[in-house]
Amino acid sequence: MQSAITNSSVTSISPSRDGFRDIVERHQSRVFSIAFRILGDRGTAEEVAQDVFLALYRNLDRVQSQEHLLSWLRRVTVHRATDAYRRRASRVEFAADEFCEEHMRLEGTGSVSQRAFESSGMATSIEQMVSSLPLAQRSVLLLRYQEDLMPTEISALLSMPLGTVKSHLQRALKLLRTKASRQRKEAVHG
Amino acid sequence: MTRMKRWIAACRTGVLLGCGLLLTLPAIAQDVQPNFPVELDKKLAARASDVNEVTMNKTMLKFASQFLDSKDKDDAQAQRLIQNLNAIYVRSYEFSQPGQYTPEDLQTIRRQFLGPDWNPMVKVRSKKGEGDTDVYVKMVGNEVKGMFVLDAEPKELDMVYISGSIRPEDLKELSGSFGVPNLNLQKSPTKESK
Amino acid sequence: MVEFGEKMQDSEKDGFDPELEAMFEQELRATLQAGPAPDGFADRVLARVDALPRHEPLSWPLRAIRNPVVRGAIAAALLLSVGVGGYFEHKRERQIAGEHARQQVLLALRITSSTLQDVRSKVDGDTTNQQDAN
Repeated sequence: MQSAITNSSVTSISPSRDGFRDIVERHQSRVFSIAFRILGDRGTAEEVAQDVFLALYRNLDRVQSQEHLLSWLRRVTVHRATDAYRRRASRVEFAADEFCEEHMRLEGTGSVSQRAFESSGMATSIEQMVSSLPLAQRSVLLLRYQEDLMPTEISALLSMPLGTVKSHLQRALKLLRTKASRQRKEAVHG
Repeated sequence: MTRMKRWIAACRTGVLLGCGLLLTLPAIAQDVQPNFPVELDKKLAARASDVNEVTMNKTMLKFASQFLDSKDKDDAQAQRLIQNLNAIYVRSYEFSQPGQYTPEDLQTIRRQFLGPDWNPMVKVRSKKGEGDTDVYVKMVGNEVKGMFVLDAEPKELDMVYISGSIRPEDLKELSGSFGVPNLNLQKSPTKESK
Repeated sequence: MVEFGEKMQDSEKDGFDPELEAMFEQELRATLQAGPAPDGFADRVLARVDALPRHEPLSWPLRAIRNPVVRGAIAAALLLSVGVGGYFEHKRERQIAGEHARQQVLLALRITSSTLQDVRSKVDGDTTNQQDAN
């Protein structure tokens, strides 16, 4: 992997195809997942993820290290997905039905790993709750729990004040807790 | 009693300030510089075959002095002469034929130098119609603060107005190489011939 | 999640529970694992890469221009040259204006001197005439 980047850096304009494929395969799941969880739509998410890799291909000569590559991918994916989300003028709030439908389709047709990703109803429930969070909170939450970044790293990545990052995280968690509690009550009583 | 003293002191201060202001006003008025009648300038320039007009205020003189070469004799002399001047106005008109200006035109110019500070130093009225000459000097106390020269000939009219401190040694210096008339600035004599 | 939900219900009366908080975060982390990209994603990206217009290999000066450091250096050099050029141009213009002012001063003094010479000659002539007349 490192060699692919180093190689790309040297032949900045036309990196080796295999080297670049390696990069795509290594990072496609994280890039796609971030885009999907921000957008809530597989088609648009794939489009955004492809655009991110194309942009990476054009800018490979500027990538200096593995860490730089990772941080670049995260930042560009979040920004591009956020832009795409906002561009959808007549966007209907991400529908839980569509989300479940997507996952059911995946369960039927997807690979073993895909099935693992969507294996439990609980996971789907949390996914649904996350998807209903406000955009900024959702992005911060994804970077914290999907990408396992510390608040300081998120702050640097999104050029967002640390206080704002922490506030988004706290609000998101509080909202999720409330939703989880309500869901539990409904399950018990209903 | 104390209040009365305070009131008197205040009145005294007021009177002193008023007197000071009154004394200052003429000094301010002295700084008002005569200007060449603009309309006349234009009229003469239009009729002249050769025109030389130089107007340099204090800023321009200061600026020019930075470019005068102190190693050059003329430049060094000019530098010394202009260092205390406020302005130099020169109007020099040459005409292809006589009669391009009237005695009234000259009178209009001279009228500007009739103030109490201006002393006519030289007044030459030629018998043969060869031209008139006037030199006025502005005296403030014992100091020369300005000089105006009007030299009118049938086919030439020169006016020079210098504003600012002109020391006798400046005039001597000028006379050293350029030949200044023997003007006795202390006595202010007037010569007139008709 | 069920366990978490139950615990949460119990703790609602007690307020913040660090253990519960940690469990919730763990649950979140587990659920929000990056999922797989759609099948054939890498192929589609590579296909788009292949479809990109091919650029001829750039000559070394153009390659160098792409380098941010070189760009910065060029920008700095341009800025410097504009600044230096501007300074010298200003200096040149000032020199011209100064020379003009100098000439004006010398002209003014020359005319003054010549006018005063004329005045002297008239005064001298007049005095001589007066003496002759006497």
